[in-house]
Amino acid sequence: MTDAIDWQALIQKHLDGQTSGEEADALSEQIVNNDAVRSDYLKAARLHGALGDETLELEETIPFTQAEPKKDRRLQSVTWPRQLAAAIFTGLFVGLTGIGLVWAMNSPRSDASFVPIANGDFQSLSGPVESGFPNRFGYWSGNPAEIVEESDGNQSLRFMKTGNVMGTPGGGAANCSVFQLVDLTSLQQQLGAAHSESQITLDLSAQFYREAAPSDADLPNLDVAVRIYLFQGEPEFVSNKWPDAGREADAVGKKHFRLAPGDDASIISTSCLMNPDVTFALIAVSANSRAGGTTPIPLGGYFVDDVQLTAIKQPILPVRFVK
Amino acid sequence: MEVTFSSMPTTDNNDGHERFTRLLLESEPVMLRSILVSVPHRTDAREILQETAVALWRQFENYDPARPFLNWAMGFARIETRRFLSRESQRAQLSEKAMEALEQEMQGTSEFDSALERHLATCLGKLSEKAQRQVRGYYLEGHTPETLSQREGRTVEAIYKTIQRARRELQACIERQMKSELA
Repeated sequence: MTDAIDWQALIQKHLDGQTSGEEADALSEQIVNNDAVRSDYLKAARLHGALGDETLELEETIPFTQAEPKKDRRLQSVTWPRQLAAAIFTGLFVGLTGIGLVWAMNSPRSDASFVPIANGDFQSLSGPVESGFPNRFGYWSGNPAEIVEESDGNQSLRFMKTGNVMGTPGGGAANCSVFQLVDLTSLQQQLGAAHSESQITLDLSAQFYREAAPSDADLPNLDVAVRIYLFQGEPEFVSNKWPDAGREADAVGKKHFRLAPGDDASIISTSCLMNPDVTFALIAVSANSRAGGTTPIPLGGYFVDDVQLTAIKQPILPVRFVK
Repeated sequence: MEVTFSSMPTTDNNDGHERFTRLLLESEPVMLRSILVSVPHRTDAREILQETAVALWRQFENYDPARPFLNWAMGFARIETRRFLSRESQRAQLSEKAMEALEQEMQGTSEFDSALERHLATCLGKLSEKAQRQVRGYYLEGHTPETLSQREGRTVEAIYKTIQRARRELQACIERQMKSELA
């Protein structure tokens, strides 16, 4: 192996498990002795790790390739790290205690209650929503969007243009998102001791619809999404550090969905577990161009209505085991 | 066979479980990414992560809450990584010295990590549609190159090449973004 080797290419091969033993040895030697190769390897490996990390906001620019769910179908999602954690913890529980058999007793009863959010039905608003990321509780704010009134008097939110909500120069402008910070301290006080005997889930849902628009042909990959992030502490932290702050959320739920022009309205929902230390939620509804780039793109006839946040309380399953 | 019934979780156990789960969830993405540096295959890395979680739980009563959980957990992750590689010694893998060099260097990559998070989505948007589709299939949908080759009607080797080229383009793009921020 000599310096004529394309070390970048070899690094990439190694990340996909394609190197031979001899190549891995040569790469190892370079990593030890060559600062540039070592630095390149680390960057490439970090990128490789980040691409598989669903807690990053990657979905917003990568187009869907598979058939989408049918319209008018309620959807739910749990991000994989929490699925893995649940699986790990179940595995730990079984593995460490030598349990031969584990089962849950009876079907638990669930209670659901609405968590108040400001203007989830948009009926009390008019005109454009505030621009920029919200910095206090109880109002919608984000990329260019406006309140529209239909012929029957119903009002909804129309996504107008993608943008970079923090105004970062050269920042990505792939989606039009409208956010609201929701104070959860009252809810937590109400729940109180319920946390010790129940599992609390917050479910965010919204109804989206799309009307035919002249720009439809230019936006073949457009989709919509709901997202919820749960945080501990004060909302200023999120306002000042978005979108990096998203990675420090206590829990995250998100769901994307594609609507064709003229499709019936669809309700999309996502949910995540809420622990007792969570103090506020950031909720977002958005339309994503999936075109990437930094130039704002005018959107077509995308609308959202009836945004709801629901707390679902389920008893922790009583589990019995046989040694 | 002795049969014992017990109601789980008890309050004390429940507190410990909950605290452990929360700490694990918070640290898990960083741990997984660090493991992936030494063991790039994602299924293997997740297996190591799971073994690490088991080891952490066994030793959790010895954890000093005054110390950052992640630092404590990373020590276990390194041990489990070495254990895994020792078991899988027939595979092509980096040398012990190389892994140590990378672990030392990892302390200094926070600037790139931070840029990665800021610019990855933007840079992904600059890839060709084909590359985006395959990156999504490989990483977000978790398909193997073999499955992608059938879906795309291309050879497995071509899929690997596209993904590897896409990663190089992404790395270059992120580094360009970093430079432009400094300019």
